[in-house]
Amino acid sequence: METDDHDRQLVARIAKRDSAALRALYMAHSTRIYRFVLSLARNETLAEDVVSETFLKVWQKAGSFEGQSKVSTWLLTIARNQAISVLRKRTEAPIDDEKAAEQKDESDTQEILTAKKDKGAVMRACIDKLSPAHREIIDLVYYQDRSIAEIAGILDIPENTVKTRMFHARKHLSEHFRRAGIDRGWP
Amino acid sequence: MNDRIEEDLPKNEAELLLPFYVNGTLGEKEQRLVEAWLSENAEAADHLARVDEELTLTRADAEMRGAPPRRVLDNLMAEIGAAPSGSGRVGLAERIWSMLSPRYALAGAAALCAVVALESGYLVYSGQQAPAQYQTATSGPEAFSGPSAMVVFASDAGMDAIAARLTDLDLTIIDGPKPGGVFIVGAPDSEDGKAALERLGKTEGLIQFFQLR
Repeated sequence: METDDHDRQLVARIAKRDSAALRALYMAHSTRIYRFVLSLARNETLAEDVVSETFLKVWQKAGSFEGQSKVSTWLLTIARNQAISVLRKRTEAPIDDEKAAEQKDESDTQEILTAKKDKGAVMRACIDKLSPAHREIIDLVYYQDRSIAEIAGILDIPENTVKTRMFHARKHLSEHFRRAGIDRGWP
Repeated sequence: MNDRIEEDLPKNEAELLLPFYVNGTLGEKEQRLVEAWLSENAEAADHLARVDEELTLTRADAEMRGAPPRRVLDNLMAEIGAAPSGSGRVGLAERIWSMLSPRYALAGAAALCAVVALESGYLVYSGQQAPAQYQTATSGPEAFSGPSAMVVFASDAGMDAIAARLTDLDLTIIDGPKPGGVFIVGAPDSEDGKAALERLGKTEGLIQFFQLR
């Protein structure tokens, strides 16, 4: 049975107030949702709260799931909306502003330089320097394996914007790499 | 919103599509577009290698972000008024599943559910640890006092189906995989626990071999 078929069955059971189905759906998806929220917010407590709120919403709204997207995409959309709602109370900067929240490059360049022998550590540091919008799309494409159309739905942006935003995110990532002493030959 | 139109956007659509080509989500037409670009452009291989590296490093970074602590699930269940889990242990399937990115889940499921030859020698629990491909329950089989069973999952059983069934029955993988893909599945120390194991053994399409211990 395909994963999404099984997820849909779980959602149908949840709509009938089957808590074991909610538990099963939680076990299958909570970690990826948690990591997605962390890519956006970098705050473990907030991510835990968002995961909990997301599945509470699923418990409350399972009956209204229309099945037009994969269940996993639906969950990511709920989680993102929850996270945005919380973050908006904490900051005035728009969450999906690609530029606004990017960290200053000079702040921990030395830290990156120290870590540059470990490319994974450099990647981590460089991703941390991206804006939330860029971290988010990097996570959705490279970790969550979402398609252009799915990401457009989750972020509520046009498909062309998904492609250009990903391009800009990658470009900024490479620029951070170069500042950390690793020239990837692009841009 | 600040999705700027920049002059440095690539003129070739294929370059914009490359990350989605690498994550395997492009449609047939777009995939052909990228493949044509890759075969015609001398620098395309370098682009592809960079994207592939980004994907690998991003996954590694994501895997390090951990998972929500158990209390989140417990609180959620309390919130909706469901009975608490009888076992505080986190099932192996849950942990394997949670550790895998979607792309790797399929390979993980294949590894977990590998087809096994039902040779009796394989199915005798020797106590010898298989290569440590996955973690097992924290307490280990020796410390486990409840009823248990040796289980080989069907080769085509999905990870999600296994995790869901174990969760439904409140069962936990306490050891494995052992040679032959054998897992030791434990239940709460009660008649209900034994019955739950027997129900697992009769689950259609999920179990290739089952034996109470």
